[in-house]
Amino acid sequence: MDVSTPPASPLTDPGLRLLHQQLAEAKFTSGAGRGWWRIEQLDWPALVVTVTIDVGELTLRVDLTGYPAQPPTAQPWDLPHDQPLPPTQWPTGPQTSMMLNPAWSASVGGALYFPYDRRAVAGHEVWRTQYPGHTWHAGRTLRDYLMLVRAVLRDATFPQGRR
Amino acid sequence: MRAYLHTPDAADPVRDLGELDPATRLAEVVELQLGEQLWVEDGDDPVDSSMPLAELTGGDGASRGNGTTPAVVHLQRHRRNRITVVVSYNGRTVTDDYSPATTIAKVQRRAVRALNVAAAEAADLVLQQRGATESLDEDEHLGTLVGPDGEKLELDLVPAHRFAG
Repeated sequence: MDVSTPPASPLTDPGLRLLHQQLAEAKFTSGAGRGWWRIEQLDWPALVVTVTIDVGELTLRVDLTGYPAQPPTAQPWDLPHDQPLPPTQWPTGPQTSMMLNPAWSASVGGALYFPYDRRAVAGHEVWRTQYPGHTWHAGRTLRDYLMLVRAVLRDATFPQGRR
Repeated sequence: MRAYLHTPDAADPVRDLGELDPATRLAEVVELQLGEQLWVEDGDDPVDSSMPLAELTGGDGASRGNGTTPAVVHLQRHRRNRITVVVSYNGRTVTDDYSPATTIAKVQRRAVRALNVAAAEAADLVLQQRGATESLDEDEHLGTLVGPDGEKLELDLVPAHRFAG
């Protein structure tokens, strides 16, 4: 008798089921309605989403492996070419360049340097005490992640042609 | 037009009312509790819920009847007419009254102006509730933050976190 466990189907993944539920919640759809973000693709556990602020927009490919117990991790994404966005095309700014720091982010696959990003949190346990209001836990949602991205991007300048 | 109803209920802070025909009267789709009234987001005065939605909403929710129908409208139901908000920054304080449908974004804009904060400095500031460690979302309504019986909110204008180190 074959007792091996079949590979988890995306449809049975509790993280994906929860995500679908959260994407349909008013708190998320109202943000989309305000033009703050739009979902481009969902190919679990990857999700491509564009975050918009007044002066430009940034597309991110978000890896939701282990969601929501584990925080997401994202990288700037070139949507038309379906590939990572080169650092020369990343937005810049005092806070923006801390989150999208080519010197650090580029060495870890474009991860966002802030306390909601899985790859950034690794090795920065001190952030839990430094930024207690921005500690990831299973009650956080993709919306929290995107809201923090938008908050940091407030000072962003976008390369020409990426408006 | 898509409509969202913000409420003072912590368990159900915002509800998607779906796509509504601009001719819909809010009284047909929103059930008000005793003493509650309805506001359009960032509007100062309650609206007459027996009027068609299109006549109650303008481009920014504060103006009405100008013939411009927004694609999305945000509403708030609440029984308080005004909420007192105290904003503190660098030892200075400004107090103002707002409707419960006022967003945190509008409170911040007004507080920054009243406190004469320079634009460059203001760009780096966020609002958070006194004693909290997490900043408030710009789309939160005062009526939702204070709950059904609240009438006063104390906020601090603080520098946004810089995630470094």
